[in-house]
Amino acid sequence: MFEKELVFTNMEFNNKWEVIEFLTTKAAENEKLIKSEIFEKAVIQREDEFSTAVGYEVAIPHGSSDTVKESFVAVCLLKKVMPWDNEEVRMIFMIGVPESRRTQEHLKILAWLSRSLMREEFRKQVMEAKDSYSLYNYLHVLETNEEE
Amino acid sequence: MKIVGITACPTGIAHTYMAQEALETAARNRGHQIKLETQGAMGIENEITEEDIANADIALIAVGCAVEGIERFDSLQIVEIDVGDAIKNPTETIIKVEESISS
Repeated sequence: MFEKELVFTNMEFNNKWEVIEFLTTKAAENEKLIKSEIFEKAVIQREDEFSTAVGYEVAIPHGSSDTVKESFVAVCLLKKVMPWDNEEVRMIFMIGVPESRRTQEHLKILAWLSRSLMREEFRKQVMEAKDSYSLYNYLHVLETNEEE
Repeated sequence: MKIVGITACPTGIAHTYMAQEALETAARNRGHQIKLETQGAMGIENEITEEDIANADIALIAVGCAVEGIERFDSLQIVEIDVGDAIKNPTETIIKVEESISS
């Protein structure tokens, strides 16, 4: 679910729309989705219905669309906190899942990630990652253990 | 006390499970037993049975959408909360449950 090319640290953006646009573009570049504007629209629609800033400096913008070729999580760690609706956010996990070709396996990983984000130790490890490579490694190892 | 309930959200891929985790931790930290059914993209998991309900003191429904089988909890006092609020303030949510049972 995690890929080196979709983990970013030390980033700066002006608002949540820029973050969503950036991560969507990167996901498209890595062939996770086609017609990125459709996915982006789905994510923005979801944000409009209900902010995905869940507290704990975490936001989880997400969208479900058949323009998603393969489920993915794009991770972005900001240099400093940024306002996201009524919350302050530093960790962004953008999730994409195909609308009709979801696999139980992917959904299980997403449920695991969601639960993990509620754990202080997990957030601490993410926050303290020194670069994108070590953050990717941390997430990948946990994901692999979870699959076994 | 023994708490049973449901967590659910519209997309069913994230908030449902965050709320379950956050509320379980908060409830256990305050010395309660808790079992929460998730109604998410993977369907119903950790299903609340008749026996669970018979042994429970109160129901906690933390959802952001319509859920299935809410009538199962008819015999219990029900505390309803928005799934997003439950994630942001799990301990306060459990305190609310405690207060509603003692009132």
